[in-house]
Amino acid sequence: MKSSPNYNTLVDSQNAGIDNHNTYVHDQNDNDQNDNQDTVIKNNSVCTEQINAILNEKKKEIAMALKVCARCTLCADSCFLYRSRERIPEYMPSHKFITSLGVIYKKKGKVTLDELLHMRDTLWKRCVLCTRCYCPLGINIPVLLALGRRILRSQGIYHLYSVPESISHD
Amino acid sequence: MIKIKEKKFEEIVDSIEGFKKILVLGCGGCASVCLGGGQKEAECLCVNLNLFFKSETSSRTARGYTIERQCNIAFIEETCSFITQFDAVLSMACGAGSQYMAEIYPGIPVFPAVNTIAIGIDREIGVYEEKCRACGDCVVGYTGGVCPVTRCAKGLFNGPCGGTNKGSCEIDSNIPCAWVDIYNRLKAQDRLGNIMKIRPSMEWQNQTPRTVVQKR
Repeated sequence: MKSSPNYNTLVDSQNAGIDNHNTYVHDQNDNDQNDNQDTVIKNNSVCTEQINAILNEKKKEIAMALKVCARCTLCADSCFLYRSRERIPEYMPSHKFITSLGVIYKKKGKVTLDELLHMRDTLWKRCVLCTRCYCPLGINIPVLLALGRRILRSQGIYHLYSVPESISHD
Repeated sequence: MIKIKEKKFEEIVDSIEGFKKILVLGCGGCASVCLGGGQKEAECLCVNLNLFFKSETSSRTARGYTIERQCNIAFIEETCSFITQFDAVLSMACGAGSQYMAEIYPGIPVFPAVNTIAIGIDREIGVYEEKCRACGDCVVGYTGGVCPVTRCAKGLFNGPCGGTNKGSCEIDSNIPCAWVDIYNRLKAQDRLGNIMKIRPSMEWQNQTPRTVVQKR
């Protein structure tokens, strides 16, 4: 087990100690897809340093995955959500990874709050992290999707199951 | 899905007595879905613990962190870089998750912050109802889709017992008798023959942990 210099980044990023001032704000930029999800957003802004600290841990894996993915769509059929959602491309595992973590990586963590809120739909509503997606080229898609969730969690953005949502097949 | 409920705060505090740095570890799986142990709940517990520590003027601290699942090594892995900096872990996952955490980190005490209640359904948000006890020998195919192990207070496979009272259970008149429901359901489906045979009782004793290997 490796000890980490990233303790503060990792833990403070999600920590809700008494010195942490989380604020609850209504997500107004996501109405078309995500109803009334309240979001816990720290200081209403994105901390690029925190995001990059997490990205750096898996930099090689992310870069390799983006390079290797041949858009072959073979991962699609291993996703039960893709198959049960009338094969909408947004449910393809590769699409989910490329449009979330892939974007964050390519922008070197310089993403806006709106972009992260949009990615929340991709990472939570279009994926249950069943870890069953299969890539013939060996990309570990679920681990990368989980990393995407981790980055969003670090910014206080995550799916709230306490908010009723209409069943939408976006 | 698995349904959990947070333990009483006093019990949680009691379990971590003597430990200085506490990691409150939320779970993004079932525990999160049933509003019992996700990131939000982990943060709330963390705030309460830190307020409590402050009130007793101790230098103890609790930090919150949530991983996607505590029952899968692929998601537990991300904690290995910082978990050794804590004296104890308060797991907000189900019994499976907290035990797996304890197995992965044998040197760090892992305490459950929640009670695992049931395998159940969502009646509505925040209202969950037990439907299955994972007995390992499902009979609902013969009982009209009503589980006698879960629904019957005695878990009878051949009911009802003598305590059934006008459709209610003898332990509480507000609880419907499972076997009356089974009878009515099967009768409506013209399948009463399903419960005419005597079914052998379940071997409840000497149970060992079950492992599932799907062979397809």
